[in-house]
Amino acid sequence: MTDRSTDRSILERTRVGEPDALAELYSKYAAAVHRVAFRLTRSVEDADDVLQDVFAGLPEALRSFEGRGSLEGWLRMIAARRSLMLMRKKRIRRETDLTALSGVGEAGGSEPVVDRVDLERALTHLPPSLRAVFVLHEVEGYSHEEIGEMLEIGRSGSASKLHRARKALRDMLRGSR
Amino acid sequence: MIWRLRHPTFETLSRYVDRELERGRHERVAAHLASCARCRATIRFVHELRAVARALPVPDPAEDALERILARRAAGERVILPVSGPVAVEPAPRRRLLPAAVILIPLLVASTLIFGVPRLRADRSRLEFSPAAPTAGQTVRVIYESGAALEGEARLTLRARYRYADGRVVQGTVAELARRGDEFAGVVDLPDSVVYAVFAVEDPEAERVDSNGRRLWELLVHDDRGRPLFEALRERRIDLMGRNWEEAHETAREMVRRYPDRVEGWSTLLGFDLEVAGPTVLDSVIEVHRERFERLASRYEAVAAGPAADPREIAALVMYAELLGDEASADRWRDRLVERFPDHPQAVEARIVEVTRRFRGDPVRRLAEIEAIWREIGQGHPSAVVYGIAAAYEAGDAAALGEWIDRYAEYDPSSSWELLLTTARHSMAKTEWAQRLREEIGRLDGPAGEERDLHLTQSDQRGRRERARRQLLVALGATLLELGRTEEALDTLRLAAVHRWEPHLYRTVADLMLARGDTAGAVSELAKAAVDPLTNANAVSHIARRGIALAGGAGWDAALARARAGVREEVLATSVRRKISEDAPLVDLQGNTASLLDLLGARVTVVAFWSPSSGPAIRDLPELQRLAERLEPKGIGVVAITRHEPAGGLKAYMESHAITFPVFIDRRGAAARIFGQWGTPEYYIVDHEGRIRFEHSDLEDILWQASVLNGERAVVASGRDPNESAPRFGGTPSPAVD
Repeated sequence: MTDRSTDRSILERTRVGEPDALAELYSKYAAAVHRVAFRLTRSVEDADDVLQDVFAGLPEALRSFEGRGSLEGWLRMIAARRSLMLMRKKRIRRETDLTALSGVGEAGGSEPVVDRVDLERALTHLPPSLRAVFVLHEVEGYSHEEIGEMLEIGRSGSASKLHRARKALRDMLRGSR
Repeated sequence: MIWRLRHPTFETLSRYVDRELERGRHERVAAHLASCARCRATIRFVHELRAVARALPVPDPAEDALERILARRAAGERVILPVSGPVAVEPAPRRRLLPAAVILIPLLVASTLIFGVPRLRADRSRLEFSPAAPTAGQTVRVIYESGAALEGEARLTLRARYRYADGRVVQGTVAELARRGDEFAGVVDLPDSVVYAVFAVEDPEAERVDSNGRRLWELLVHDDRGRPLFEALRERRIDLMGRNWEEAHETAREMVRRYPDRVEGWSTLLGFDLEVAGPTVLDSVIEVHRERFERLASRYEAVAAGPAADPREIAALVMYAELLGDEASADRWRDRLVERFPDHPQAVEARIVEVTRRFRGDPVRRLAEIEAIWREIGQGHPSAVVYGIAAAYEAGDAAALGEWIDRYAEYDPSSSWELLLTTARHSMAKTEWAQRLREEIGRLDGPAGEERDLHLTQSDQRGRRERARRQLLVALGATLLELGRTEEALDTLRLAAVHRWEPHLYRTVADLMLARGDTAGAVSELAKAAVDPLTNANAVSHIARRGIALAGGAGWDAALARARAGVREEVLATSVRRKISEDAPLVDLQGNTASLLDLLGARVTVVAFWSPSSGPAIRDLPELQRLAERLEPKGIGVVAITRHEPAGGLKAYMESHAITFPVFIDRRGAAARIFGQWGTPEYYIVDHEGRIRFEHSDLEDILWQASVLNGERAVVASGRDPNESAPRFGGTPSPAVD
């Protein structure tokens, strides 16, 4: 509660473009914003770009923050959207990147061990539309309703992409062992 | 009932985890799970996937992000953020676009708006491959966004070093990148048997090179399941050895993680581990490796006899056994290797290593044996050449040495001169040696091949050749002097025109000039010897007495000033100026915080990026300590910065190595980022104004350059050079020369 009231005066100062206030918000929320961005983009540089863009655009964007939810939640949502935009841009540029998945079939056999390093690699290779749903749902904890709205794919679209993502990850993890 | 017989699909199980199945179905799956371990494993997998994904590490934001944000805002940049509404990740379906001209105009306006304000991140370039994980022989599309370094070009050149599965290395231009809007694009056709490649981008004249901060950009060839080939990891490891030892070590770990059944991965990893741990390696660690060796060896027993035997794996067993000190096993596997694959490079090397071991004390016999093996198997075994050179050198056989160096030059024409200078000087007859040096100089004067390192510009390469040429000329001049061919010698030495010869050579030349009645020339040579920072104080005072006797106090001072200007010009010609304006938080060995900028202070400082987990860095440590002891009295600081702490603590480590210079921990890597450091050891000489002037991966030139830089500072500050001790020279203070 105290956090929110403190935030409010900082918010006013940030809205009118005071660098100190922006810096204060940065020190509080940069880590959260960066975390979402990195998880979605899986790129240090892209995550830094998103982080910079979010805070560089924050004073203007704050005008549409109604203060209903928490500021952190709102910022994370914006960070997610900004990351998705960046991913989309890249997706177009690297459309053949899906070849990383080629040759992966419905192989039977035992479930793979989820190794941290392998999972990092697999997530990097996962098509962005699947990765977005997987990260938003499984890691960031958004509901299918929220994701469906955010990505304009509907609730069922989000759910079905989540299962496809899990399956693709399983296939890739199998391949890497 | 039916669920007991047929397994639910993955999607059904996945939906079950999310409680998305309608009621009856959910119950049926639950009942199935009660009796099906396989499906329970899938459920477990889905949970584990989520848990591991949540726990994946996330890097910290860039240290300077806030600074850049504020700078962007201060520059008037505004970002419109997507505060609401959907964001499609899939590309939008193609729509009919407006005529190109209509959208072109607003785009042009927009681009001036974007580029009108300084884009602080524009200096970071980006190179992407598509696919990023190609299979063998695949065509790879390259997209490059240039940073500031390569701005303004219409076309760029992509150079690469290809490494083949059989260990061959080929380097050269592989594609032209054509501008396409903000980016450059090109296509690379990977040759079929290339497994690993590194790339750099340069302008068509090769005067500006983007090497990604010397990291280069890399491609590993993958199998069709998206896994990097074992050979790709092996070649990556080899390519990184001279560039970033720790990264090479990490690649060895990756080899065993992905290919735990391959002996080669384990033997390579043990080699790295031993280098880092030194004699302190734990018995328990060795024990674990011994057991693994036994297991791998006994499993390979059957394979080795069959058609699937791989000479590399057998060679790895030999090496593994040797590293473990198990000579009997090493001998046994070596015999098998030689017996089954006598011509294989690994077998050839194993044979030569064996001969080298057996005739350690008898270099003449060893040389003959190696020569015999070489003649038997012919060429194509570069690793054999090094043993040949060593044997010829120890045997003092000049003719053989010359021949082996020729063999070496065929593989590596760019560095044979170095080998020649270090090995052949004292074993060849002087006339022969002079002749040989002339040939080597001729080789350097010849056309440049593709040997230029990927990160070097054409000018860098010319500079390297020039330095090599000078060293050879100096050696030739010295030899001609010894042969009594004085005139020729002096001509050669003048041609070399270096300021940095061994002081004894200056003095010899001075004597020769005196003998010819050239007093002015002799004084000039003596002055060069006197100002050389490496000349010790006693020698300096001796030289000064002679100089003053010949030229008088004022004449000697003038000669010193000229020599100093020369030495400075020589040193500073290769220096850069990169201001360190950002600070980084550091922690000293007592746990106190420190600041990078305070540390550098207002004096010349050698900053050593060091690591207890890098073999080369560990090897350099005693020499770094000696260097610090020599620099400290001159007022030059030495500090080490590390990101890694060894198991027993850094303080204890440094104490056990008797290190007296300050060591700091760069926990978040902020200092490393400021310096642009990659790999250890890496040394930077920072001047008194906090500018990086030199960077090195070895200690060779540091004493000299730091001393000269320090001289520059003192001259500016007081009009005197602290490397010169005035009372001993007895002359008037020398004027500032800069």
